[in-house]
Amino acid sequence: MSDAALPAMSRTVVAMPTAAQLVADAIRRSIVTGELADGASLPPEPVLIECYGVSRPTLREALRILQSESLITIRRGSRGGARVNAPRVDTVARQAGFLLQHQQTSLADVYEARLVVEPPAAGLLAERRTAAVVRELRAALVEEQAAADPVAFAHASARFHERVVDLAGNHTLALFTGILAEIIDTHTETVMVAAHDPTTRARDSHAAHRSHERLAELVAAGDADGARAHWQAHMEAIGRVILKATGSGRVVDLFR
Amino acid sequence: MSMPTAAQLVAHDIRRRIVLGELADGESLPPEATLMAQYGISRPTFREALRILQSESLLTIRRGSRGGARVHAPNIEPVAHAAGLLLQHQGTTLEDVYEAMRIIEPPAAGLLARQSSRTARKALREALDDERAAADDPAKFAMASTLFHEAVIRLAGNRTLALFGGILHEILEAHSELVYRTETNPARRSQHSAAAHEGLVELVEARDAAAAEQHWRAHLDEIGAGRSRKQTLTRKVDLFRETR
Repeated sequence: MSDAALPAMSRTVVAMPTAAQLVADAIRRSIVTGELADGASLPPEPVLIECYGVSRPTLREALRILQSESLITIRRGSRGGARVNAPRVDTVARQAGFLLQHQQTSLADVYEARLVVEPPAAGLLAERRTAAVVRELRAALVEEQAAADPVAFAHASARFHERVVDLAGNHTLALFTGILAEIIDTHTETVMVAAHDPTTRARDSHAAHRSHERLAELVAAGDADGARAHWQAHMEAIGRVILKATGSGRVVDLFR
Repeated sequence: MSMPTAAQLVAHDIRRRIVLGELADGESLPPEATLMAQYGISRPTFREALRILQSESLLTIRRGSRGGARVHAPNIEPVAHAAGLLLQHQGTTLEDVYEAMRIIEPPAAGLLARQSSRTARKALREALDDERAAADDPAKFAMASTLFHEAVIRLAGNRTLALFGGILHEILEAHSELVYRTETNPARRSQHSAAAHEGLVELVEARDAAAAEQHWRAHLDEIGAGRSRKQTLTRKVDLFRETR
């Protein structure tokens, strides 16, 4: 686990925004509020220059700002121009992954955070379950069942965990899980191979699957406390196995 | 899966060096000609690679005679910013964000009490002092109070949670003014909240993890209580409020 040496969030810095920043703010707002749809083209440069009353270099600076936020893509050439990219989880997740790796975040650290998020999410899921949600959860179990080998099972199992949070109906928690999805997926195989003896892998997978089925039952029954407690116990047990196998020192590595 | 282009391969290589810290924050990339020769690529391909890295906030490019590409190590602010925009785009309510806070902050407070360093405890105490110093100004107090909540997660010693805390903070910061303005009795609420924060600092200093977690959970439950507060929480995330 890391020490407290992370930099503080910066305090509010009071500086006058430049013209380019103001133009970028206006376009960003239109993208985020959906006035400019995903995939839409921005109007041609002369139109934008006229519309915002700025010079060409200022407009280009504004577009560079938006490009650096992945909110637009600029194409050169005769069919060129700026195209809108609506905000996406995978774009955020990618940047977040680089940040965690840059900070040499350990896999144990990531797992500790999952232990904070996932059991309460399982509770919310049970509390708010609908028939559709229960069906989706069962579909994820079927996918697990269909896994041909322990490695495929480990991937399906990781997706089941992600589904639990996704279906719980909280956008913020779903974003957090989405941020970790690629990191988890990248390390799933290594962790599985390190954590489970070849001779017991199939049995371990089977036991994990039964535990997931149990969660689905508790969710279907609307037992929020039961679902939360079960998921907590399930994840703590797995966490111990993983930690023993990989040690606490292994860090996130997205370039494997 | 399609074959990566030459530009993507070069971007991948430079990205890896930035993320691993081989290229340090603030450093300039070697001149264009050097890198073009090193990677054996054309100028348009090289520029395309730079654009990819620019779109990931890993480089900024300056024009002109003192121009060139400068490295930006991954940093929480652009990530939190992008995450905030995404949540707004999804039409997320403040209640949704608050629900996530209630789930994440109490265990973070527990971790903070259990495993924090002396430096972390000192930093938490300072966040409380900042809050106290702002007691007479409701707007400033609201901001300092938001920063205290952010500090609890950041100092807990878990980097993944600190990232989540940074995202929560991005949203809370943009709404702190709204929250205090819709308060029926802001002065009383401020006093009450400062006392609750003080209580947490004491439990953290006493290294009492269970009590710290429980105390912080009770405080968060209280934050969401009350009619005006519930009303405020039905609003949607809007990061552009202050610039409107």
